[in-house]
Amino acid sequence: MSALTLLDRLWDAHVITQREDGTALLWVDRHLVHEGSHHAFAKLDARQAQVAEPALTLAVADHYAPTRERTATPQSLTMVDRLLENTRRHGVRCYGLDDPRQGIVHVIGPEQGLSLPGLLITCGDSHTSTHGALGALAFGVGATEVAHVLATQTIWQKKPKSMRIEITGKLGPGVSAKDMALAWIAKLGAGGARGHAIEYTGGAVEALSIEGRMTLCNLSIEGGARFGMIAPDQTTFDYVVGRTYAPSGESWSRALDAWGALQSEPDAAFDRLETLDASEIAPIVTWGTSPEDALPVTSTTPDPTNADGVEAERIRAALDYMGLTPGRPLTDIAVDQVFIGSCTNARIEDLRAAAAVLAGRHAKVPGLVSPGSQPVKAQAEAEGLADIFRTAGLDWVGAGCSMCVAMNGDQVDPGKRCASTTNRNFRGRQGPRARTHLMSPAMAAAAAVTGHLTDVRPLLEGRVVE
Amino acid sequence: MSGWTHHRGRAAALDLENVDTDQIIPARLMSTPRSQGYGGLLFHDLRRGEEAQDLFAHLKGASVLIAGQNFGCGSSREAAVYALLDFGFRAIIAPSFGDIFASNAVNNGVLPAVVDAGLVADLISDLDDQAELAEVDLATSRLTVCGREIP
Ligand code: SF4
Repeated sequence: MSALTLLDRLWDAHVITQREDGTALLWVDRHLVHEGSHHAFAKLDARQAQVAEPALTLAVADHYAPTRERTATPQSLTMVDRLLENTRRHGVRCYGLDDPRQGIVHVIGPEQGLSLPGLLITCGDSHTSTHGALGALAFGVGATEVAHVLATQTIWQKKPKSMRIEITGKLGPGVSAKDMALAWIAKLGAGGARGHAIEYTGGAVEALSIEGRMTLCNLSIEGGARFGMIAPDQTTFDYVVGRTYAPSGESWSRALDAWGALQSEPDAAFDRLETLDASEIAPIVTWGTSPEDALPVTSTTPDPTNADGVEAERIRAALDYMGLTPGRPLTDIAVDQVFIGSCTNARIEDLRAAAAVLAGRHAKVPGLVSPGSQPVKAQAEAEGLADIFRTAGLDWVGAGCSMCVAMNGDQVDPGKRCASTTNRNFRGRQGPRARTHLMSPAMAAAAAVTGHLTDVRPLLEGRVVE
Repeated sequence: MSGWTHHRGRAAALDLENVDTDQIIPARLMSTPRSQGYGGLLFHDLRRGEEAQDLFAHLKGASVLIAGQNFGCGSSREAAVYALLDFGFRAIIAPSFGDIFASNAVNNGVLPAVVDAGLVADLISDLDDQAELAEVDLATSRLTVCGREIP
């Protein structure tokens, strides 16, 4: 038998049965649900079906969660109510707006110890790959599949091809997991890893904290991969231990034994191998309308005359939408506002990184800082980070998806330009005709301080950053 | 789920790559119950842009969409498929698709057919802004459009 990859191990452990074409029926250990799952509940009701395993299902209000009282729209509150109603009827736990555990679904899963190594986790959201940072098999599904999981706690799935992205070397100061992710997406393209499950390996990945690993795995889908994962190690175990739903006592030591085996064998063959050197990665920003439109902040906007055919046309259209001209230094681009938040970059370490830049400085443009969850919010307030943001002139608001997707009333106005720590710079993502530049929390903080896209590294000189 | 094995309809081209789910249907419109129909929401913001008229006028009445690579990349929103389906599309032809979009499409009886990038480019230029008769046969895995037979 050939040597196993981490994907093989996780996959095989969940297969219930298999069709001739290789599609497998998989057992789902945790199913996470949010307001967007209303279509799935409607499908369930149409068939008069019940939720098969309410105890393995957790719902949370995040996509439509208002972050400030004055921006709550009747429409967003209706969506939250619909979720509460659906989950109550089906006996599913739900963290509503007033629950101290509420937050973005991909932040709270790991935070509560619900997402653990070795588990199969699904959610009706494409950034579910985030949970793979713990060594879980986690992937986003559509509404029909959500309904299937609700009704049966299983899912039919074709096994993806395996891909290893090895990131060697060491990140420089001021460079983060976000930059690592944008670097590979820029290299391979927004569809570059389509059809594959990525396992991230290498010294630079091992050196990341679990939160950094979550940022890296979160962005897998922006390079086309539905799955991103990292083999669990001591860093993982130290993160998980003591969390609310994590195993304890006797079952903790049994869990450790099982989790220790969740590794790709040294001679396992991957369908694809890619390598990056972390020491070559500079802070990155996006200039266009796809996450692959990412460049080191020290470079200039691309010139479509250097590309051909469809690609030249695409670059022209993206620059046009973004209100930019070719060959312009990225650091010349003035921004109207910043947003620090989302399941990509709203955990405590992200907020610390932004605060390290903002401390003792003033923001030249307005901005919103939305923590990933209520526990993150409480911790940031206790650590004095919230005060740093407020003193700098930014709005410190509640937890939720907020301006990442502009469904809750927080949006970027038409034609405005936002330096954002989110994951998608698609046209209209942050509001109709909004212009989004993706970057790390430290880079967004730097843009706030100077009012334009900025290399954060000089701003960090002489400062202690964790 | 509406299964079909043979489809005849009009094919139209959308000469764009990386058409992401936010372009297919913006997130803020997804609280609409499905029963109200999603067809009018398809390409909602794109259709309201300046050059939008020429880009989209020919799609009306078409049921086979030919588009550039990585169609449906981005979010897992099944609403993107609902919008295409309710607008009238039964098959999307492109060199590649977003993974989750493709599963969602299949689950709703919309065919995401992967066709060689060169052929798609030819089809897009043949069709230009016209809609032409097309036939898709799943039993033989054949697509016939503009006099071309594509396996
Ligand atoms: S923060 Fe943004 S990307 Fe993450 S789950 Fe919410 S809407 Fe999706």
